[in-house]
Formats: sequence, C-alpha cells, structure tokens
Amino acid sequence: MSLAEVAAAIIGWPPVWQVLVIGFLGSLVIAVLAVWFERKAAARVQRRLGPYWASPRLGGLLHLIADMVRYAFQYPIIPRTVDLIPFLAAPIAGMVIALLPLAVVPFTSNPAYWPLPPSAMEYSLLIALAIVTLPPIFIIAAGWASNNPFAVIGGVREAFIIVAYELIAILGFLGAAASTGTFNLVAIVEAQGGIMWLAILNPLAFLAAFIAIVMSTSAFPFEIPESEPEVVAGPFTEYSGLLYALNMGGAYMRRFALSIILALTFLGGWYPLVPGEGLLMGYILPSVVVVVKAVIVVLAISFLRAVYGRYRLDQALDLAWKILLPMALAGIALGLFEASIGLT
Amino acid sequence: MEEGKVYVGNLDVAAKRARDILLGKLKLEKVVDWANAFSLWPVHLTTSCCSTEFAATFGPRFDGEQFGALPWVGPRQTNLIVIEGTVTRKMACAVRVTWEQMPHPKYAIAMGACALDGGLFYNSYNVVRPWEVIPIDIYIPGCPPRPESVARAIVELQRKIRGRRVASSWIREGWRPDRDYVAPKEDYCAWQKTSPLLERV
Amino acid sequence: MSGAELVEGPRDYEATLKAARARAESALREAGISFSVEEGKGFVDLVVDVDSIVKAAEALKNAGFTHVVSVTAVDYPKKKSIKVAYHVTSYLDPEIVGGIVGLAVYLPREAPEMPSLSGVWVSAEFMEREVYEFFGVTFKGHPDLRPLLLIPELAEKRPLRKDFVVREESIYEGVPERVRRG
Repeated sequence: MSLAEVAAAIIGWPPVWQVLVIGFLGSLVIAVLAVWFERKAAARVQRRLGPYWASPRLGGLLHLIADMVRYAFQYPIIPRTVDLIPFLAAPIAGMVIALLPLAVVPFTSNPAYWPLPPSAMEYSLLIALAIVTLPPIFIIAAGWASNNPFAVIGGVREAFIIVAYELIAILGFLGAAASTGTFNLVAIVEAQGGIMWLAILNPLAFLAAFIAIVMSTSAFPFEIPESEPEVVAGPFTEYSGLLYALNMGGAYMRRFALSIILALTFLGGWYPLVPGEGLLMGYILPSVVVVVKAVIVVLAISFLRAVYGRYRLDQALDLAWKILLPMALAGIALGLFEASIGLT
Repeated sequence: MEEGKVYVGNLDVAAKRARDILLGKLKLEKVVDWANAFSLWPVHLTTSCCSTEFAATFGPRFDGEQFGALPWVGPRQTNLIVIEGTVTRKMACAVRVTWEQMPHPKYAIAMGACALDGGLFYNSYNVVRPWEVIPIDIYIPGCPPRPESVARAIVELQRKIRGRRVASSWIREGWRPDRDYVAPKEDYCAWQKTSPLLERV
Repeated sequence: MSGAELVEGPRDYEATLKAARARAESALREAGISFSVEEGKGFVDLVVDVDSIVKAAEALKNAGFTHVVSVTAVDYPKKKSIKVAYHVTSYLDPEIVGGIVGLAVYLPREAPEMPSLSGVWVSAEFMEREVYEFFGVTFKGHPDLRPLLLIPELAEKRPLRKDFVVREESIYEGVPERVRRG
C-alpha cells in the first residue's frame, strides 16, 4: 500500500472528507459567496451598486478575494497586554470546532458512506447538537483574552445570548425528533421523503430552530455581541489581519454547519434525490443537494442584514425567553401529536 | 508576551522569511497591490464637519462601496484613514493614536480645506495641519468636498497604490520608502501625561 | 407657573423678553438682592454682586428659569474686569419660553474667582469648564474643573482674553522643504 493510497484512504474516509472538503473548502467558498451576497443585497435594497469595480463581469465578487488577500498580508498586531495563547488559539479552535458537527451528519442513506457506524448513527442528531454548543466558548475566550473593555463586554454579551439561544436551538431541533420518533438523522430525512418536509409539517419547531441559528451566529437582527455603535467590534476588537479574517470566517462556517443540520432535519435532506449505489449516486450527488439547501439557508440569513434593524440585548433576551422558548416547546408538542396520529 | 511563554523561535525572522518567499519567489507583488487597491476600508474617525459629506459618499446615492471601500469600525481591521476636516490640537492626538493602531500597509486621505492648510481657521491658535501629524497620500480640496471628489480620491489612491507598488514595497521593506519623516507622537500627545491641570480636583 | 398652554409657531420676542425680565426682576427683589440692569437691543443683563450670585441664581430658578442656555464671559482690559454672564430661560413655562435673561457678575481681572452655579443649574457644568479654560475664571465648588476643549498648555494662556495675541502665519511658514517642493 503506497503513501498515496494511504492518503487517499484517509481523505476518503467520510468524517475527514466531510470536515475537510465539504466543511473547510466548501465553507471558504460559501463564506466568500455569503459575504458578497450580503453586501450586494444590502446595496440592492438601498438602490446602490455594492462592490463592483474590481470585476464588473462577476458583479464585484473579486472584491471579497481582495479583502481576503489584503487581510492575509496585513501586519498582524498582537497587543502586549493580551493573554497570548488563548488570543491565538481562540479563533483557530473556534473555526475548527464549528466544522466538527459535519463529522457526524450523514449526507446519504447509503450505509457505505455514513461517517459513523450504524449503531452510533442512531444518536447522530444528539451528537451533532452537542458539538454545536461548543464554539461560542471560544468567542468568549477571544474577548476575555483580548484584555480590552470593548472585547470583554462583547464576550459577556455573547454569554448572555448563548444562554438564550442554546436551549431554543436544541428544543427546536428536538421538535424534528419528536415528529419522527428518532434521533437518527438518516431516519429523520427518510421520514420526510414519504410525505412532506418537516418545515411544513412542524413550522413552529422549524421557526424556532431557524431563529436560534440566526442568533447563534450573530446575524443581523441579533448582531448584539459585535454591535458596531456600542462595542466597536465586540470580542474581535483587538484582532487584526489574518486572525480577524479567521474570526469573521468562523461565524460563517458555524452558520454553514448549522444550516446543514437544519437542511437535514427540516428541509428534506437529500430529497427529492433518492440515493442509490456507487460513489456518484450514493454519496456525491446527495451531498450536493444537501449543501445547496444549506447554502440557500445561509443566503437567506445573510439577506436579513439588508432589511432588519438590530435588537437591543434585553429585547433579544425578551424575545428568546418569552416567545421562542414556548414556541419551541409547542413545536415538540405538535411533533408528538403528529407522531401519535401517524402523520409522519 | 512574558506570561504566555510560547516558544515559537524568532517571530521576526520567520515573518521575514515568509515575506521573502511569498513576494520574492512567488511574484505576488501585483496581487498584493491589486488587493490593497480594491479593499480600502476607511476607519470611522470624525474630526470635523466634512464627515457629513464622507457619510454621503457611502450612502445610497453616491455609493463609495462600488470601489471596494467599506467604512469599518475599529482601526485594527482597516487600512485607510480619512481626516474629515479641521484637526484641533486635542484631536491631533486621537488622529495619531488611531493611525498608529492600524496595521500597515495603511494610507491616509486629507479631506477639505481645513485639512489642507487651515482653511477657514487659518491663523488659529488651536488648529494643526494633518500632514504634521500623519503622512498623507491624497488631498481633497473643497469646503466641504463633494462626495464625488471623495470617490475620486479613492480612485486616485487606487491608481497610486497600483502604479507605484506602494503596498508590496511597504510589506517587503517593512517601512515606507517615501515616508522619511513622521513627527514623534509626543509632539501631539504629551499633554495627556504631563499637565497637572488635567487631574480631577 | 401659570396654567397657560404652550403656543406653537412664531412668538413676539420683545413681549416675551419683557415678561421674562419682569419676572426675573421681581424674583430678585423678593429675595432682597440688589442689582443693576444693563440692557441693549434684544438683551437684558441683571448684574449682581459676587457674594449674592448663588442666592440670585436660586431665586431665578424658583421663579421658573430652569435652564442655562449659555455661560459666557467678556474681557474688559481697560476696566480691569471680566464679566461672566449666565443666560437663563425656561423650556416649559409658557410665559417666558424664549425670553432669555442674563445673570451677570463682574470679577477682578487679575484673579477672577466666583462660586460655581452648577449646583443650581446642572446644565452650566460644561459651559463653566469652557469659561475656565478660555478666560481663566475659577469656579469654586465645581465638580470637575478641567480644560474641556483645549490642551492644557493652551488653556494656561487663556486664549479668549483680549491680550492673547494670535500669531500671524505666512503662507509658507512652518512648511517643510519637501512639502514646498511638492
């Protein structure tokens, strides 16, 4: 067995493939696309052009590449007062762990290409949700290690927001489990193939999960930790150059990973495509369908920036505890009811 | 730095080696200049009343964002500073500190007659010229300048960066060759420490 | 305060000023404070002694003048005195809205010192700081008497006094050689 074969076997192993290729490379492309769409959509709403002149034919898409190159070559300032190891480790760890949920989600119903053994697949939704709760810790760590008042306040705001959205996200996703009676993501997707997407069958849980994703990645109506007029750039105030780009990209990667879970649980996963045998039909095409659905969710979240204002912290917490939490619980109840009458 | 105790070797040597490989062997100068030219993010720093025109530049009608310029919040993430009008002696320190907080390569535009040579406040005891405080790349005349002239200044700055290879030579040399003299920071910020008048009674 | 309604639209300034002046004078008289009146076109200054200015301010505040619009000072080098004027008015009392009455005091030019009125009108605090840095008037009892807009070296020179000479600049003065060359 040659070295190339070993490398190919490692890369081809579904968890590694999903994290490195679909997760890392895919979300790099998708982050650029989402930022571009965000700026362009905001510009369209305000009747502007948006980024344009770097590449008129591509609609200014190259401006985002220019931003990335510029960040990569700018001098990275590391203030003398920061706590060095957490300061450097937080953005990298946050980004890596944001992608880890992709190591456990299935992209196909073909057991040959599952990332987990079938026995562990029974609990894949729970494992994915457990990993999803980790990355915000590193945002708080980044703010705390920066040793800057704005950064610390931003980190504390993030902590407040975590308390609000984490429960809603988990309860919202569990609404899907209640509807289908299983924690197995494959079974959840296949249950949607027969009748209808869970987003339509159980809209309460879907809405709760969607808003929780928006909150967790501080997308616009809830862009509270990085609120520009209040706390300069929030936890990332002291970051410059490549480290700031990592921080910024980390949020989009988290959004992408969560969107994939949302696409699987509520938006029908790989349906209308039915996975068959072989690498192409059994793995690649279904994962493309899932990724396309997730990208649509990411772009929809990006579009919110153009049309919404920003909630204050207390308003967001109010909304989370008084409206979204009962809504998520009602979603679970609705799911159980639907399961009892045999709708799903 | 002392508490962290990361043993990573000599960071400066490593950075210089990476710089040489990327810029020298891979010939990335053009890419870097292009990227800097199309990603000029000005920092929010309002020194005076020209900021209204500056805000209009990035508003819906004039749309400075089409050149890739996006006003951003903190100095750490930006590379362009626009002096928006008069700089008083007390504000000069803030301008200088903001400029120093920005990572290089960085550029500066002086906007309005007051930033050129005092303008309306010529002969005043409390006004400094921004070119005494930080090195300026482009001057915009006008009182205040129209948003079109701000957009023009951004385009001229792009042309300057790409034509004279400002960004890549700055990264390669570690300093900017055509900026031989910048006044020391103490000239503008010494009052923060020395004066007994500033102590709270 | 009277029960009249606030009127929208333009007002007769002379009439309001007259009403405000009458109100202020009667308030000072009731408090037993001696004062003299300086008036010109569109302004009235009631000049009191330094010793009685806090009492006068409290009397005016009780009479409805709840707001300080500006605190300013005038330097008289020949008279060797500095006049500090508090322009007070009300936003809410319908009779005197828009009528601005000055409460003024003359201080010796060499060591101008007076009690701070920021205890009576909170809105006077920052304007007293400005008068302090531009004219060198010391306000006793001010909570935070530091220069506000100027750097301390300039504030020590008292730039708005009449004997402060602004240096005339020629066009090329102070311009380095490399800038002159272009």
